[in-house]
Formats: sequence, structure tokens, C-alpha cells
Amino acid sequence: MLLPIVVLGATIVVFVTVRVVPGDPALAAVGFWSGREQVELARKLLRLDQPIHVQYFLWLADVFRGDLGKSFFSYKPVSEELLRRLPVTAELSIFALIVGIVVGVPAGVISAVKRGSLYDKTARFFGVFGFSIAEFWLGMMLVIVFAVMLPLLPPGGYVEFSVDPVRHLKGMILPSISLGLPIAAIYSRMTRSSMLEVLMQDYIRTARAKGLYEKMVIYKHALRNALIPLITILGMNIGYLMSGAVLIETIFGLPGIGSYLYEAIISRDFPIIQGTVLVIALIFVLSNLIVDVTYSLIDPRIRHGREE
Amino acid sequence: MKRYNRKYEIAITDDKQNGYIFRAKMDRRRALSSAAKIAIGAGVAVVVAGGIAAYFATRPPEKIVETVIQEKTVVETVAGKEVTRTLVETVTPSPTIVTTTPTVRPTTPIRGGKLILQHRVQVRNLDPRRATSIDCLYVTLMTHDSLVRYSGDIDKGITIVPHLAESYRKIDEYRYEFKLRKGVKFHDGTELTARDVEYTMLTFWGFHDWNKKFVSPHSVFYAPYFDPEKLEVVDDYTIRIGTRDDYPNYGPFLWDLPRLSIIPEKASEEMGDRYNLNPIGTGPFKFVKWEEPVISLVRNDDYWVKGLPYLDAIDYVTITEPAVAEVRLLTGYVDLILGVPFKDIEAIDKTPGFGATSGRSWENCFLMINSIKPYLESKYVRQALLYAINKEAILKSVYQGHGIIGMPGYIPPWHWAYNPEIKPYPYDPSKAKDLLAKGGYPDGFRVELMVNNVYPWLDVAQMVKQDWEAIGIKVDIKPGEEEASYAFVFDLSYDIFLTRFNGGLLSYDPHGPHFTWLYGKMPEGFRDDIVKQKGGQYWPHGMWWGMWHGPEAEKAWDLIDKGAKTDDINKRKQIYGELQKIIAEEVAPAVQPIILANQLAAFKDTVHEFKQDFGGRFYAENIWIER
Repeated sequence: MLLPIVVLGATIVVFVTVRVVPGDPALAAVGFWSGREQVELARKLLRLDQPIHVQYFLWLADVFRGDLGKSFFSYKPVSEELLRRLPVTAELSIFALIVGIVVGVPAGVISAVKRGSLYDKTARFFGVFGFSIAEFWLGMMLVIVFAVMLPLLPPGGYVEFSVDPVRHLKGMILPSISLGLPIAAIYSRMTRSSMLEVLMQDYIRTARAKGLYEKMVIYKHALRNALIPLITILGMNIGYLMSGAVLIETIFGLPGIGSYLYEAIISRDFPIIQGTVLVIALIFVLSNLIVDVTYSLIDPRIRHGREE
Repeated sequence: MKRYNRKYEIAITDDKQNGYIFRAKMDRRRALSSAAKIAIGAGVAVVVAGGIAAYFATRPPEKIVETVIQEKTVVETVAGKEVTRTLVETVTPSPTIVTTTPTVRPTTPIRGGKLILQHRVQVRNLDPRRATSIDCLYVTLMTHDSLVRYSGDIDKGITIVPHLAESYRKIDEYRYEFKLRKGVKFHDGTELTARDVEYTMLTFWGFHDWNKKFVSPHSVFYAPYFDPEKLEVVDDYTIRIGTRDDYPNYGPFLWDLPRLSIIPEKASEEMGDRYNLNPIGTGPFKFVKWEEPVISLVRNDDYWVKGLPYLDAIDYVTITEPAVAEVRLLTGYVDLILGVPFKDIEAIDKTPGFGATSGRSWENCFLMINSIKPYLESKYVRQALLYAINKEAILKSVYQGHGIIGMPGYIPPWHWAYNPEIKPYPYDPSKAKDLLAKGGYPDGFRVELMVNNVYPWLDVAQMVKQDWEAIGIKVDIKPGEEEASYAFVFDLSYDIFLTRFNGGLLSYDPHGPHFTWLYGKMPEGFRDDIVKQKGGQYWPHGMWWGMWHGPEAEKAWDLIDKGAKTDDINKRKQIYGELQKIIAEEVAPAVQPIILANQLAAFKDTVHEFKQDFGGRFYAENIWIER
């Protein structure tokens, strides 16, 4: 029941914030050198002359009708543009998550199992380094190495999958790594600490005492239990992926909702900002809901607890 | 597997030593394996570091640009009249980049191919009536045509030439008559007639019903001068355009027309706001789709200029990050990039297979000074601000020599209206200190310097701050986005705003957006309280952001008005010469140019005939690609 309130709350905060920060969208829409009359006309046409609560309810009424409004500048319908851009951001986020999981989780597991070894120290160093660096910088470094020095991958730009699948996927590699490596760093740290805690448990000792293979102990008994906190983080990471996508999409010129939001903020295009934030809030809330459901799949005790 | 288990058996018996068990039990094989891993890791690190070092080591060294002052007098014909111009070069910019066409090169244009063109700013409008920035104009110039066009270049002089109009003539002191070319087709197949020209004029000027639903920011240029009553369709191919009764022989008449891209009435009225998403014009390229970050255009096979355009298609791509944009050029993903950072242009130019242009333009980096602030009201203080700035150092270090020092009279030294007596304020901190004392602030004051929060303006602001602090003025830099900063300009709460303005984009005429907007009076009813308080008068329009006031300002306003009421270019030159003296002497608070930056572009050397004019415009129909 709280979910709609969270989403509505987010829209109210954004609606008010964009109107409080300096910058007049009516002025931006007609150019700063326009006359007073043009600015006032633009303000009226954009419904910015109404009191803020009236503007909000008018917008909300439109949203319930399925209309997220049109860009102040291009007149492109926001919903149309979001539908076109969402798959790009979703693809980038999924690839980034895959990078995060594929690199981060095994690194964390090995680090925990080989605690104190050179491998563990190296992994911990890169872990701290990974989540300390800005993905912006990482993106640029990857471009220099993989697009300039070793011209293997394209340095940004977007080719639709339907036009050329190979070029499309090649174009997604660097953005996905840039966005995914900081996540991998977090996952590696989380997995390590979680695994270390689990490895100390009595049932692990029991499993080993039974004479189980070490691999079986680690992957079947330890890792599965260590994954619970990781799943929570995964839900939270949807927010990170969305905010990270703003920068990564802008750097690499990907037409996702991140770059859409970035350009809208720069130009004070309120309908785009409001529509995009609404969609991001919905995604965030829904993904956390999915995470809650996933708990019961990972840990049957949660499901059993509810039944009791 | 057995060995693996054995180690863990030990770990279970002693938890405290669990972490060090491998080290204690490491056998020869494992030691060799670890050593090999370390060696491989170190090898990879050395290769990567070596690669990075080699990359930077092979970059061309920075070029030092020497400052030279040159003057030359040329006599030329502008708009049918003979005019003497004195060209003053305060600095020789970067002559190595003025022209870059390689020597071994086919000279005959080749038809076909797609040009992938990249810019850093996202396009917001494709309807020329709503387009306010250069990025929109880049595209609308490809899809639309105007009655007349600018021709020539800065060195040889800019003139007006007929384009969609076959010819034009002045019929009385208010009106011009334009004969249109016959058989010109819009992209939707309808024929261009004088009705479309009439519709275009009315919607641009703000006198049509279309303007109740959409805003044409350009109306601020035309509404005070052009008269909708004098707009007369004589026949399908003849139209007369006239000015208001109080503006006979309106000087900027023809100079203001190239910006009016002709719109088809039928399509515009039927499509409403969708016209902005599916623009239709008579231009050399047809609009196909606009899906960020790409705007796709294809060749207009029915273009009225036979044989043009050469290209089959153009993709206009937006990449906001300059470093990525450059890498995309150098790795062959795009053909041409606009708006290259000053620091990178020479390196690209020297890269085999690539070229660059650095052309003079009317892109001003200027100070907007709010003269209603008590400490900025005295002209001596404002002069001190200019004397204190080391403009040459800014030009060399921030702009890498790609530009010239701005003239305090506003008009650039390459313009026909330039008064050669006007020279930049020299860098003289001790004189600045004296003037500060003369203005009543011997110990300086604290001032807020608002600035666009991006390169290169933020870098310029740092240097200005350093210079002003050297004469005792405390400076707080306030970076912000351009749009947000203008909110502080409009409520007049700012002190000084360091920003940019490309007037050449809008008109070559000094009246146009230049003198009226920057130094003219405010519109009646706007900022009444301040205008009354300062005893100011009203002007039909004008920004007056600096709130320039006083007897000298009034003299300037009279000259601005006088300059627009004659089309005798020599008379106008004289009037504007006087006006520039006042602006320079007063350091007129609205706009004080510091640097006139060059327009920079880089491209593959297979791209031919790419030329930007003083406003950054280029005509894509002449571009061809060597394949």
C-alpha cells in the first residue's frame, strides 16, 4: 500500500524542486534574448502561469489518462520517447548487472575462501578502488584503452539492434563495463564479508565434518546463504544503475532515459523531468518489490515463516 | 582435491589462523603458480602504462602563438555601395589551421555518400521559427532556404545575394519587391508561391494566428520595424515587403532576411506542433527522422539548384562529451565534428588523414556588467575592470590563440562598421588601480562573478578573478548553467556575468541583435521601477541588462535609432563609429567583449567544401566526400 505513496511523493518532490531551482523554462523555451511578451506567452502556453498545485493536479490528471505531456521545446510526446528509450537503459542496466555479478560474486567468494592471500588483498584493493572511482572517469579510461590504443570497440554512439546486431552489442560493451565495474566492486566486498560470516557457522562445520567436497560446501551451503544480503543490495542498485546511467549514457551518446533526463534538466524541460522521474520511481519501487519476493525463493525459511 | 580438503581440516581446528593457512602450507608448485600470476599481472600493468605513456608522448607539442598587431585598408562594395574598411588584427590566431585542405586531392566534386556530422549540443527545435540556437540552425539550413543569403567571407567582405528570390529591388523608401524563382518545390511536392513567403513573414514577425499557439522568438527583431500592412502579394511569384512609417530606408532590411527560412503555409497549418518534428522546406536535404541522438536527412532530388547537393544523406549526431566526440572522429565513426575544444584542435589537425578549420566569428566571450550596483556605476571603475584583465594571456592559454581580443566598441575589427580608432584596453594594472581610486574605490570592493559552468568560460573566469584580485577587487566566482544564470540577470540581482553570445548567427547588421539588444533601452512597462528610478527612457525593445543610463547612454540610444533609419552604408559607418567611441569610453555596462572566439571544426580529410561563416553557418549542399 505504501508503494503508490512513495511514487506520488517522488513526483511531488520533483515537481516542486524543478520549479524552485533558478532558471525559467518559459525563457529557455523562447531563448534568453526574447522580449517580455514572448516569454509571457510561452509561460501561458506551457501552463506555467498557474499556481504550482494547479499545475501538479493538471499534470496528474493527464498522467492518469496515460499522457505524460510533451517536451516544452520539441513537442515530442514524453511517453513515446520514454518507450523508445527505456529498452536502451534496461539493456545497459542488465549488462551492467551481469558484469557486476559475474565479476563481483566470484571475486568475493574466492576472496573469502582464500582469506588473507595475495589474491584476497588484490581483490580488496580493486574493490575499494572500484567503488571509489567515478564511472565517468572509468568510462573515459576504457575509451582511451579499448577505442584509441587498441581500437577494438566503438568509443560511444548507438546503433539499433535491428540495424546491425553486432555493432549494437559492441557499442554496449564499454558502457556496460563502466557502469558495471563499480557494482562488481560492491558485490565483491559484500560477498566476501557475507561469505566469511557464513563460513564460520556451525552448519558449515557440520557439512565439512560430513566429508562433503569443499566445492559443495562453498557453493551449495555457504554461497546460497551468503546471497541474501546481496539480493537486498541488488534491489537498491537499481537506483544506482539509473543514476549512473545518466552519466554513462551522456558520455557514450546512448539514447536511454538517463541522457534524456540529463538533457531535460539542463534545458529545464519540466514534462520530461517529471515523466522520467515518475518512471524511474516506478521501476525502483517495483524492483524492490521483486527483490522481496525473490527472498523467499533464495531462502525457503522466509516463505515458511509467513505460512506459520 | 584431497590437498584442498586437508588444508581446510587444519583451519577448522584453529579459527584464528584460518586466514594464514595457505601461506603456512604453501608448497613449491603453489609458490611457482603465485609467482607466475604476479609476473603476468606486472606485465599487463607495464604494457598498459607503456601504452598510455606512448599515447601522450606522441601527442604534438602545444604551439606558442605570438601576438602581432596588423592594420590594412581595403575598399570594397557592400550592398551596392563602396565602403572603406580597415582590417585590424590584434592577434594572429593560429594561421596553421585557417586552411587545411591537403595538397593531393581531387578537385572535382564526387556525388554520393553519407556525411556523419557530430555536435555537442542537442537540437531542440527543427522549426526555423522556433529555432534559437546554432545547433538548430545547422539542421534548418539543410532543410530550408531563405529569400536571400549571406555570401563572401570576413576578409573579402560579406554581401547579400538572391537565393529563393531570383531578384529584388527597392521600390520606395519603405518597400522592397522580391521576384521568386518559379518551379521551386517544397519537400511535400507543393510549389513555393508568394503566399508561403507572406505566411512565413507573418509567423516569424508574430502577426499571424499561428503566433497565438506558438512563440516565434524572432518576432522581437522584426515586429518593431516591419509592417504587416505593407506586406503585399502581387502575384504568385512577386511579393513586396515594407517597414513601418517611422523606419524609412531601414538600414538592416536585407541583412535581416537570411534568417527567415521559408515555410510552406499548408503543411505548417495542417501539422501544427508536429511541424517541429517533421519539418518541410525547400532545402537541399529532406528530413527523415529525429530519434536522439541522430537526426537523419536525405538528399532532396528535386532541389532547385541543379546538380546540388552532392551528398546522398546526412546523419546529425549529438555526443555531448567532447573527448568521446573527438575519439569518434579519430577512430573513423564520424566524418565531421563541430565545436571542438580549443586545446585539441591542433592535435587533430596534425593527425594524418584529418583536417580542421579555425575561422573568425562573432562568438563573443563578454562581461555583462550590472550598472545599478553602486560599485559598478562609475565608468572609471568599469574601465579599471578592463585595464586589469590580461586579455592576451586569456587568449593564449584558454583559447590557444584561436580568436582575437574583443573590441570595447563591440564591433569586431573585420566588420564594415568597425571604427579603426577603437583599440582594446591594454593590460595595465597600475592604471587600473588609479582608475579604481578615481571611481571612489581605492581599496577595491567585493564582486560576484557569475559564469557558465563549462569550459572555456570557467577557465576565463579564473584568470579574470586573478587579475581583478591583483588590483584589490575581491571576486567570488558563481558558476551556473547559462539558463539558470539568466534568471539572476533578469531580476538584476547579479553583479557581473561572464558569458557568451554569437550575434553573427542572427544578423551581420550591427543594428539587428547587436546594438539594439545589447545597448538599447528596455521595452516600455518592463522594469518600470528601475527605469523610473534612473530617469531612463523607453525603447521599442532592447535588453538593457546592464541598465546603462545617463546622458552618454541617451546619446548612444539616439545614434542607434539614427543608424537604422538610413541604408547609406557610409553614413551608417560614420554613425556607428561615433557610437562605438561612446560604448568604449563608457565601458557600456551591457556587454563588454573580452575575446572573439574562432569557430572550430575538425573532419576527415576526405570531406571537402566545409566552410563556416562569421556566424557559424555552413551550407551542406556544397559539401562532398571523397570515397
